[in-house]
Formats: sequence, structure tokens, C-alpha cells
Amino acid sequence: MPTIVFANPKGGAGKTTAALLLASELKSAKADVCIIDADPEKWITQWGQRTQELQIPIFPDVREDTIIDVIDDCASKHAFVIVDLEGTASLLASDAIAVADLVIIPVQGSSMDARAAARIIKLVKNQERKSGKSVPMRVLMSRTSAAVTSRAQRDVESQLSEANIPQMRTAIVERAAYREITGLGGLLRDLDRKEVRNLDKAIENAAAYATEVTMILKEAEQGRGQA
Amino acid sequence: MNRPNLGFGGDEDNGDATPLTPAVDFKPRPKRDDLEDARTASKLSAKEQGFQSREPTIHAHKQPAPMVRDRRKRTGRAQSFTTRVSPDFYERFYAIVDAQELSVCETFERAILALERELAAK
Repeated sequence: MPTIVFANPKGGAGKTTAALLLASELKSAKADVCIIDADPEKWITQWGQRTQELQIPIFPDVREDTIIDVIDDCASKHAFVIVDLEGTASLLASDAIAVADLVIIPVQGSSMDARAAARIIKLVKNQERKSGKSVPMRVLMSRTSAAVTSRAQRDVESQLSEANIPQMRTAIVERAAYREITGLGGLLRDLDRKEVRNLDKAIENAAAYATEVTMILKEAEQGRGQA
Repeated sequence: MNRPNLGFGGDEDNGDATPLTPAVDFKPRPKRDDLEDARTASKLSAKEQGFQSREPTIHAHKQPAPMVRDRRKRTGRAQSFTTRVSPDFYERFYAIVDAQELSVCETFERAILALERELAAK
């Protein structure tokens, strides 16, 4: 049921990696997942072509006039709908956000990413005012260093905090394994430990991230139930 | 200026390595009946926040450009032909061209036809 939209109008912020890791972890947990690939680069569609035996439906053909209906249709057939958006401030992105149950905004520790993320945050807040409905959103720090936290990243995090923008506790650490799944296909947990460096660390990180996402969705669902 | 480190950087700060939360609680839901409201909110917000259409516009109302008729006469005369002639034949050739108001090519073709008739008659 929940539709999780990954949005940041800046390219390279980590949307596709975050979307793929969530899909991978949910599928490993035997969940019924589908992905809407609205990124013109079609990375996830290419990944899916190498991953057909996993039976994750991927919908690559979406346009401004169809995305809302495609998301609604998918949400009526699958337990989780994951939407990977293009890295532009487009009407299509706005439409997807309008029917999202959770908007995740991946941000690298840089001011450029943060400024782009601010546009999505303003859009979400604007839509909430227009529709009168709350749209949960979280900023996700992505491609962070496993060893150190950069000053730029600390700046971004603290400014988000000062602006009361909710952030995920878990960050996506830069890991070789995350690059491998896009190239090789398959799920993160199916990669070969002998060939992929620090795979256990990567799985640990992805599991924590996916668990946090499901908890946010659960809280949002309970909130709607009480409303 | 010292900014507080909220601690997302290191491995040890990336949450617990717990198994994935069972996702069985989530199920498909019935189709929504408020999609038009969502569309309206999206369009208004997108306009206000500068989120524009990135898809190519199809001008369905635009009439196709009228076909321009090609008025050039296609003669099939594509092969060039050069030769050296004596001044006398040069003058006589162009005298016919000018008198008959023919092109050089037409004059040459008619000369060939006349020669062919003459040879055939022999």
C-alpha cells in the first residue's frame, strides 16, 4: 500500500541507490514490491532486466498525464510502491509527491544538494497547505563516508535540524556493494561476499535504513488511523 | 563556527544491524477517490514552486506546413561533356544556338539525332 517517493531535483543525490536498497531489502523480507522508474536514465529498469527472476514489477513508461494513475493502480495491487524520480524540478515529480505516503529526499553532504532538497521540502509543504493533508517526508543523508563526517555534511544536517526538517537517523554510507548491485543486478544480500568488499557492513546499513523506513510508514499509517 | 555533529557519519552510528522489520503488515489498498484533488494541488503547487513540465509539447492544433512544389525541371542531364574544337566549328555551333534560341545541350542533342538519322539512311 505505501508509496515511497524518492525526490531531489539535483542529479546524483543518491535517489536511485536509496530506492534500490529499499526495494532490495523489502524483497529479501519477502514483501510484495513494485518500482516505478520515472528517471529518464532508467537505471532501475536496467537493473530489473538483470534481475527478472526476482519478480519485482518495474514500470518505466510514465508521463505527467499518467503517473498519478499508475501509482494508484500499483498501490492497489502491491504492498509497497517505490518511485524513483528524475533529478529535475518537474511537474511529474510534483504529481508523484501529491500521492506519496512518504517522500524521502536523499542529500549528499553538500550545499548544492541541500539547496535542491529545500525546493522539494517547500513543494511538499505547499501541497500540504493546498490539499489539507499531511505528507510525511524525511531527508536521508546519502553517500556518507564510513570513516569521517565532513564539515559540509555537518553543516547541512544542523541547518536541517534548525529548520525542523525531519531527518532519518540512518544514513546511506558510500559502499562498493551499492555500486555492484546496479551493475550486476540481483539483491544486495545475494551478492558474493568473496567478491564484494565489506558486504556485511553494507547489508547492516541497508537493513537499518529499510527498517527505519518501515517504522516511519507504520507510524504514519497509525497517525492516519487515529485522525 | 562549531556545528553540532548529529552523528550520521560513522558505521557505529548507522542504526542497529537488526533484521528487516517484517513487512507483512502492509497490503495493497483500494484505489483512491481523491486523485483529482491531488492533481489540482500538485498543479497549483508546482506552478508556485517553479516545478515545470519537462515533456515535449505536442502542437496538435498547429497546421502542417504546406508542401512547396518543386518547380525545377528535371532533365536527367547530369553528365558533363568537354571537348576541344576549332574556332570555325565553335562559331558555327554558337551561331545555331543563338539563331534557334536553343541551349548548348539541346543543340548538341539535336545534332546527334540528325547524325544518327543520316547514318541510318546509309
